[in-house]
Amino acid sequence: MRIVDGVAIKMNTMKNINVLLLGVVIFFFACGKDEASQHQDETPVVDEQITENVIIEESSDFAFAPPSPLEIAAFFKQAGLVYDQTILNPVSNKDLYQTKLKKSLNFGVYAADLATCVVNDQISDAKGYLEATEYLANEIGMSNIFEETAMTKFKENISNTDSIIMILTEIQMNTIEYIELNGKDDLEVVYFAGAWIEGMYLGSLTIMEQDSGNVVQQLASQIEFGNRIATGLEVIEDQDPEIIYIRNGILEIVNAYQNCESVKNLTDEDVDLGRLQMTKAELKEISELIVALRNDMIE
Amino acid sequence: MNNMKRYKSYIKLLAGLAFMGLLVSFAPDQKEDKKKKSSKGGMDAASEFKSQVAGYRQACKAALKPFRYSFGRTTYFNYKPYNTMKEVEVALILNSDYKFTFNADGVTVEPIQVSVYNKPASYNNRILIFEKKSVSGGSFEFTSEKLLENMRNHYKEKGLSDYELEKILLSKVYVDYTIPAIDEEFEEDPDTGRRKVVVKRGAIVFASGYENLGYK
Repeated sequence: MRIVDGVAIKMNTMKNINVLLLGVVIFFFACGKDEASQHQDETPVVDEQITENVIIEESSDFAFAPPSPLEIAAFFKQAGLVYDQTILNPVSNKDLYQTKLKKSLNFGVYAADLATCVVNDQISDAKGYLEATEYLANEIGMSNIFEETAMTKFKENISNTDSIIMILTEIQMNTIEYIELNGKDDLEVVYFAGAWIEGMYLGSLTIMEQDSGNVVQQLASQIEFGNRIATGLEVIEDQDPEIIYIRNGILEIVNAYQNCESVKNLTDEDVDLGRLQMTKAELKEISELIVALRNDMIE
Repeated sequence: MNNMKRYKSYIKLLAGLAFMGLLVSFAPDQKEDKKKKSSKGGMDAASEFKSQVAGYRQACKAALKPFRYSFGRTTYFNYKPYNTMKEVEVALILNSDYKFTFNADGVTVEPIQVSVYNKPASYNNRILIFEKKSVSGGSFEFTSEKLLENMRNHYKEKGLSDYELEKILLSKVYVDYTIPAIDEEFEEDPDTGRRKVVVKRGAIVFASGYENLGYK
């Protein structure tokens, strides 16, 4: 019996161990499930935070609405800028841009150049700029802004500038919608920085060619916009040296403008009544800064 | 008898352990459900709002006709227990005619005020060139010509000649949204069980359009 009891004791011990093992297995199964569920929990929580950030734009430091590239290009044409393809960023440069920052900046540059071609009825040149813009848009994850039929429509309407303008307006609308819908504030500010610098560059060339007071007023207004762009660039999380360089370049232009004697002495009323008159030396100094920054940017 | 007692005690032990295991496995499920509901609820509310606002944007852009789309800007805000203001800087091309459209269907909690100035909020002596109080739901619009007219009226009162009044430029305008204070409401955070403020969101959509490109 003892032996039996002994066996029984051993068997009981075995059963106890089995029971314990079963409990441990259940426990670990439960714990394992707990861990898995924790992972499941974490993901939506993070998603929720991202969604909150996208929806609630509390730190909207970049709250501005610039004119579209088409309007800027049309303004400079009206002011007397003569179309010259060699002053634009060559389409072939698109392959030079390796970083997302460069691609985004030059996406803005090409948008301005594309508009310049269109308002000057240079539709065959415009086709190359449309392709370059589309290429860079794809590279920076904005392929959605181009409808599949955009290029076909463009080719079909190559002799109709109004229709081409409509296509460009559609692309502009899609770009803004994409940025707003996806909360791409960083991309937005870089894109506008590119378009702004190219617009300023074309404006500078206009001033050098034409002595137009209206262009000076417009350029002055655009220069002041540089402060907004610089602030927008400052809040970009990934402050790589190139962003800092572009930002400093923009601020240098804004400061040079604000330090001009003609500007310093202006009252608010003078600005409202278009009384700004800059000297040739002042315009030359600012234009040179703009051209230098723009040429660095497209390299 | 002894064996029977032992078996009973094993069964009890087994049942106890299984019960404990089930308890442990069930507990996080409850937690998971709770969190899923919370995050799902949060995402749904946010996504729903976002998609509603996308619809308002379409309406706002459509209202620009016959002007051509220039730019659009949606301003999101949260109501706070104090008044807040958000400003959008709008750059214009000189001598161009613009139409500005607003859609306030995303303003549902308390009406806001929309004011347009010639200078940013940091200026003391800026000129109010448009104002609309109690903006809540619906849409409204005005043109740059209307803003210029108000600028001219301002300077006319200051005694400027008609010749000078014709020279007035409007290269930028500043749209200020004043969001009124609300009484905060609280709810229990399903994750922590702590009391948290109920977020009350709003959004106003703005779009600008130009009449023509000027050079033609």
